[in-house]
Amino acid sequence: MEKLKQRSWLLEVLIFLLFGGIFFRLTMLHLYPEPWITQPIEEHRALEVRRVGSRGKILDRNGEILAADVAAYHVVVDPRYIAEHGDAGQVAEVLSSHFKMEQDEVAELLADVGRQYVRVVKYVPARRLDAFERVFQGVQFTGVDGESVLLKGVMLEEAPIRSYPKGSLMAHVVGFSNREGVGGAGIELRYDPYLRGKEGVRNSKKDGRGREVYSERTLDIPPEDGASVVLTLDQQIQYVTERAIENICLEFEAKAAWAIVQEVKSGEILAMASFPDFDPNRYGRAPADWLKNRTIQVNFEPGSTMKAGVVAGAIDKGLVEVSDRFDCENGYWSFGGRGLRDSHPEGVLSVEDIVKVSSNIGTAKIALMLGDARLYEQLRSFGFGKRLGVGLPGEEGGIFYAPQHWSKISATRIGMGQGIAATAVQVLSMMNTIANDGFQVRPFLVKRVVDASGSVLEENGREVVGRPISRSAALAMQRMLTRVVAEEGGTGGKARVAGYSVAGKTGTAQKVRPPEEGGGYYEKNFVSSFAGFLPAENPQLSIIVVADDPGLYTESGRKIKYYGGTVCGPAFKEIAEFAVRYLRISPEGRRVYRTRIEE
Amino acid sequence: MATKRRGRKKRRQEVQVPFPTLLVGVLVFLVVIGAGYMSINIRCAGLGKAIKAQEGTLSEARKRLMVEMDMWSSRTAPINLERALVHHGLDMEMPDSDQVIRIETVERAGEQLVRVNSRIR
Repeated sequence: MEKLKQRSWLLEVLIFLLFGGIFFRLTMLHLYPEPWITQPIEEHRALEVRRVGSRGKILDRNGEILAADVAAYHVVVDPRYIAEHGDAGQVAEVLSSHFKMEQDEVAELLADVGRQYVRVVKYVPARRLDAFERVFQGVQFTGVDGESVLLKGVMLEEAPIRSYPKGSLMAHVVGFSNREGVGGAGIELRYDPYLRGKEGVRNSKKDGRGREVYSERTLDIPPEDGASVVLTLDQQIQYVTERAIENICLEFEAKAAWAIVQEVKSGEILAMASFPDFDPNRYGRAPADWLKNRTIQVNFEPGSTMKAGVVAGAIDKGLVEVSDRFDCENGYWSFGGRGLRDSHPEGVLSVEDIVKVSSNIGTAKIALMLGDARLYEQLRSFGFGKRLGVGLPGEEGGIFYAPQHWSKISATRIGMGQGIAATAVQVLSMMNTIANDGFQVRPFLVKRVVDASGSVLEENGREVVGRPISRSAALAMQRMLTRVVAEEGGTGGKARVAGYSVAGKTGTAQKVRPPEEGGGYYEKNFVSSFAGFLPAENPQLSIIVVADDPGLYTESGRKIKYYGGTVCGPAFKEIAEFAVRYLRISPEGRRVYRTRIEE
Repeated sequence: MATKRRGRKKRRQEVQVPFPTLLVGVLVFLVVIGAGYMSINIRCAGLGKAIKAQEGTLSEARKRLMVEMDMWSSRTAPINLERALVHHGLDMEMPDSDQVIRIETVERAGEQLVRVNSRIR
């Protein structure tokens, strides 16, 4: 009996040791496996996923999306798999009918059974793929009749695209980015470092089917979306501005036109338009010249709009009074061996009448009173000859040589906007300074940059960059410029806005002939412009409209309808009329204006 | 004979193996531990799958949201709104400046309203 008991104990111990040993071994294998066992398995199961966050959005001042990354897919087929398991005819039929392709073309791609990866259509926006659903062996397609078919061997491969939902609206400001997500122009280029998404990484393991095993995730740093850039532009004002300049090109056969609308006090640019324009969704199809943002990238001789700055400078320096009178020589004056003409002969005119009728001779005499050095300093202080820094790449600074390079007659020509080249944003800044009681504010386009978590990375606001003229000189100029528009005989009558007082100055400058064509100026080619602000008593908005080579020819070959007041005045009126209503600016200049974002 | 049979019976009773309580106890303990471990493991794997599925849903929802926002932005572009108005035969214009009544502050609203009413009468 004892012996039996002993044997039983022995057996129990043996079984215990056996199971205990197995259990111990399994536990050790599970918890502390040998490297030679685990390494190949680990290598096979290891999964590292690196993903880059979406590129940041570009928004207008009211939060309207101007650019954003949206889901899109490549439609990919596996011809070998389809040949073995699927229905090539059905795949060809469905894909060709849905993507408007020739059925033979798709069938030809499917016939290449040696291949396992063929892209049939690239970058298809997700909204065009509502009928497709990804399933295990391929995609499920549901037709308009509600019938579903399984397309084996068809795959949808993620390939996000940059979408510009407003099309060509604000295209020159927003710019574009390429397929690799790198900014190529405009805000997309200038703010590329902010807009780019940050890479995230996930280290984990996959199962036999290649799916990630969540519990094996050892590292998970999520990708971070790029920051959003909020512009100062307003899509409604922008639209009206773009329409107005397009009309200039249609009605007056101008080669191009451009315009800017700016808030006088803050310097915020509400609209910046250039025509011809392009659709950033298909920027590659536009000619290079159309991609140019002419408001900052084209230097032009401004012509008579420059007179406002010259006269303002002379008043500011106390050299002339508004009522001082100058002999305008009945339309022809010879100085320095060169003749100077007025388009309308005038006799003796006061300074304010010189501005009103835009007399070249009168302004030339005022410019001579200023002298070369003071004229140069005055115009430099307005920002001519240097970039203003609106926040876009490729901004030109104009061409404005120092007085040591001037001839005897240079001051007389620069005074009337010849021999000096400027961008529209520079001319507008000068006009804005006059409207802003002599304070020059920096024009800017980007209100703020906000990262994905909502932190503000950059914020721009009103920045006074100088005070080129005194308040009294600015007020005097405001009154004089109001007469240009309001009074009969003024050159800017077509810019009048019902119920509002408008101040402004017209400009009609002969275009510069390139040296290879003999230099000098073209006889019948002009750059016409109108720059002004409103309401004149309490300016809120300043606007400039420029047209390149406008004008119609009569049967006798005479060029008509090319003057700044005729071509750009009505466009100014159209833009201003809409903007004051839309922004709820009263005729006295009081404002009830709040953007949705600010609320 | 009877004695022999009784003796055999007695012997049979004597060879009964005692129940291995300890072994069974240890085995049951191990099985419970193992089962518990596996159960937790399976639940964790299940939760992991659920989290993965939710992550996928969230990602898809985000994509869908962006697509919808993009489409909305496109539809509310001024040119498309204008086309929609034309399509539905709606002709809208802003009122002339003399048709606009500006009420600038709440305090003055009543006063201005009286003025407007008297003008209408």
